[in-house]
Amino acid sequence: MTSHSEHQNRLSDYLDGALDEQTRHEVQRHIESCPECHRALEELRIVRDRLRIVARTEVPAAAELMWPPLRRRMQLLQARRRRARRTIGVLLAAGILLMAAGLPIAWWRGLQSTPENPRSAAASGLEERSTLDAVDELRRAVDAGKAALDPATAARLERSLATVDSAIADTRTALTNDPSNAFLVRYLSQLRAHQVSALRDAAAYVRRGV
Amino acid sequence: LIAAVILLAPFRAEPQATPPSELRIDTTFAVESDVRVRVETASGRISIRGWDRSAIHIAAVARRGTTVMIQRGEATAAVWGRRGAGLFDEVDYEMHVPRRASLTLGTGDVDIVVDSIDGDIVARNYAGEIRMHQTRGTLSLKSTLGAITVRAARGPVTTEALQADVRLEQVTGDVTVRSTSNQIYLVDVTSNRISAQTVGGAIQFSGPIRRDGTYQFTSHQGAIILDVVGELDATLSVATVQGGFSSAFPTQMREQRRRGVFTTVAGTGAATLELETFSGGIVIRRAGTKKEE
Repeated sequence: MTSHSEHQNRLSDYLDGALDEQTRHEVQRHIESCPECHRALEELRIVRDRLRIVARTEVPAAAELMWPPLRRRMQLLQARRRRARRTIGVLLAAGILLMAAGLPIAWWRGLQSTPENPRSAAASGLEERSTLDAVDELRRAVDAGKAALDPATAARLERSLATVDSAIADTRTALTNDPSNAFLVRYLSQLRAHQVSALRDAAAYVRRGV
Repeated sequence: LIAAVILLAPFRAEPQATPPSELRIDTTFAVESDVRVRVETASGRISIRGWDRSAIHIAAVARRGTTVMIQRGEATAAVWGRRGAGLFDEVDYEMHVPRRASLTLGTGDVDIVVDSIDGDIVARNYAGEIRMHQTRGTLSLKSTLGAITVRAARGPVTTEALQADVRLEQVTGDVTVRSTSNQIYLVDVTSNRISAQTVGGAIQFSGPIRRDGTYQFTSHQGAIILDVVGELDATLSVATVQGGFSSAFPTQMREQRRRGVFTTVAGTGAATLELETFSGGIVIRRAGTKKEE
C-alpha cells in the first residue's frame, strides 16, 4: 500500500497531469480523504498559477522593444522561473515539514499581508515577487527616460500608470480585509499582468523618445 | 547570372529621392491581388484605401530630408522612410492597394487610417489615432497614446490602448479589447466572444448576447453598461467589491459566494457572461429603452 509521504511526493506530478491513470486515481482518492494533502495541493496550485501569470506576461515579441538591460533582467527572471519550477517539489516538501513541525502557515500569510510589507499582499508568493522585481525594473526605466519627453506626454503616460497603481492599491487593501476572496486574488493577478504590459509599452515609448 | 539579376530586380529597394526638405512622390506598380504590404514611418500619416485593381498606388510627401524607400514584388511590398542616423523619418502616405491585401502598418507617432480592406491588418503606433473602416479580415491594433476606432468591420478584432479610448461600432466577430485608463465603447457589436478589460474607464456595450456566446467585461473603477438587443439568456457571474448590480431582465440568483460575488441566471442561462468591476456599477438594460443623454 502506498504511504502518505509517497502520495505527498506525487502531488506535483498529479497537478501537472504527469501520472498514469491508476496512480492518478490513487492520489486523487488519498487527497479526498487527507486534509493535509488537500491543503498542500491547493498551495501548490497557487504557486503554479503564479508561474503561469509570469509566463503570460513575458511576451517574446516585446523583448526587442526593451532596453538591453531590461531584456537581460527579464531573461534572468525567466531562468529563475524555470529554476522555481524544478524546486516546486522541494518547496512542497519543506512546506509539509513545516506543517508537521507545527509551524502555522497562517503566520507566514499574516506576515505577508501586513501593512508594513505592502509589496507582499495576501496573493503574493515567490513568483509574484519576481513579477514585482520586473515591475520595479520597468518602472525605473520609464522614470529615467521620462525627462526626455515633452511634459504633456510624460504626464499622460504617468496618469495611465498611476491608474493601474491605484487599482492595485485598492485591491490589496480589499484583499487585506478579505484574504480568502478568490475573486480578489484572481483580479489582483490580472491587474499585475496589465501593469507589466502597460509598463512595457511605456518603457518602449520612452526608449524611442530618448 | 543575367537570369538571377532579372529575378531579383523587382525586390530591390529603390530610393525614390533624397530631398533637402520636402518631396512629393507619386507612383503606381502592379502586384498580386492578395499582396502583403508593409508601411512604416516614425512620424506622419498612413492612409490606405482598398480598390479593385491589382496594383499599388503611393502618393507620399516626405519631409525633413526623408528618403522614401519602396521595395516591391508581386506578392509583397514594403514602404518606409529613411533619414540620417538617429533621426526620425517623417512621411505622409496616401495609398491605394488591392482590396484583398493584408497590411502591416506602423510604428511611430503616426495616424493610421484604413478603409475597405478585406485582408488581415496589423497596426501599431505610439501616438496618433488608429482608424479602421469597412474591413473584413483579422484586425490587430495597438496604440500607446492614441485612440482606436473600428467601424463596419467583419472579422476578429483585437485592440490594445494604454491612454485613449477604444471604440468599436458595427463590428461582427470575436472581440478582444484592452485599455488601461480609458473608456471602451462597443456599439452595435455582434459577437460570440467578447473580452473587454479596462482599469480606469467604463465599458459600454450594445448588441445581442448570443446563446452560445461567452462574454467577459472587466473594469476597475468604471461602470459596465450593457444594452442588450433582444432577449437575455445567460448565466451571469458577477463580481464587485464596492459597486452595484442591476438588470432590466428578470434574473434568478443561483449562488452567492459572498457579498458582491454571485451567479445569477437570466432566461435559460445559455450564454456565459462574466461581469467584474471593483467599484463601478454594473447595469444591464434592454436596448432602445435607455434615456437619451
